[in-house]
Amino acid sequence: MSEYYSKEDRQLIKRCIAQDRHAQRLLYSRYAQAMYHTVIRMIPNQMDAEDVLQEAFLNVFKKLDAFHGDASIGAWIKRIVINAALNFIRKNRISYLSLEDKWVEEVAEEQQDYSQVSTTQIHEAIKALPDGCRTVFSLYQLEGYRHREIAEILDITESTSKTQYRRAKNMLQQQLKKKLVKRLAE
Amino acid sequence: MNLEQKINESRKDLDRVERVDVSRMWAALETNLEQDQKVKPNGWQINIGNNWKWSIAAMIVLAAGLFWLQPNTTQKDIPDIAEYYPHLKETEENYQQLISQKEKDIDLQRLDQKDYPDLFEELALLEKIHLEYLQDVPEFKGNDQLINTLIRYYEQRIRILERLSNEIEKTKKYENRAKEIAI
Repeated sequence: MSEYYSKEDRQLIKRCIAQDRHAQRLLYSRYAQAMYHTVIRMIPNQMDAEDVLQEAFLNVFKKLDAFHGDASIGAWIKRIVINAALNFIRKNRISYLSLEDKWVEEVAEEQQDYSQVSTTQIHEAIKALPDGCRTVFSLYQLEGYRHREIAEILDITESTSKTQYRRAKNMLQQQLKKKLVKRLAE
Repeated sequence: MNLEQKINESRKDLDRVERVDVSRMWAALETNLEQDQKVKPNGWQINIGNNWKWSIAAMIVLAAGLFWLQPNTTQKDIPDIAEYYPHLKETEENYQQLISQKEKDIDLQRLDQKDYPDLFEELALLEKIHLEYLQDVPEFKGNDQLINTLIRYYEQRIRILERLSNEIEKTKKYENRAKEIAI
């Protein structure tokens, strides 16, 4: 049995499978907030993000008996949540244009210090990114996917994934630099 | 600190930036779960439907059995961890002190549960599950996993209290910001 799968998790999951609403609510309460943020960073519209999250959790409770503890329950739920978000994105045909490097504004390796930027500013700046590069950025930088995996998931080339990531990073740097300058001016 | 380093450092906080109305969302999900269950009866339910006379008889026997068993189960005493594992006494006391301090810091007794329904419900459920584990102690006394679970209860309670403290801080910040805007 995996180390990720504690006796307590096992009990909770058993209860969830038996449709024990208290247990289901406990599991939901534990993960809903973090998972909501995963979704809203990929789909920055509250109503859509909530719908996707609900659909994902319905799947979680339906498929829970297939969870064997190969990863932590949190990681397993996150995979379902990310898949639900990606399905939504695919249905809504968000395009991942194959950008040539020359179209991406190259910013020289900068020395800017971002330690004074707030978490809220980063969060809002990520949400404001264009659709395609936002998804790549979220998956790579925040969810730990590799470019090869992102390319497979989104049906793009690895090179496009890298380019979109660079584009997102440049745009974030520009946005956050503006905030820092504004803050210094105040 | 470059941007990637800053994001890595703030990774956990990035999952807590927005206020998420978990209660409202759970209520909607619960409705969907109920509907889902009604639409698809499981094999057991189908079986009951086909053998309803036997099912009623079985329920009467079960109810009578539960009534007969009830005095024994309610009389069962809930033991302390240290009573069965004396070597954990100090650890348990340390955790209890820490919890008591955290509860004092956030003035838990005076908090309105309606303001933080999810966290209070989580606390109540954690208590309920912990009590069930404690009742298992006499039977599974030597089980290391059970001991770990019993100790993890304290860690989980501390974590919930910390989340509660964060929520209180956030609420205060929102209120202060609202006041500033009003001024």
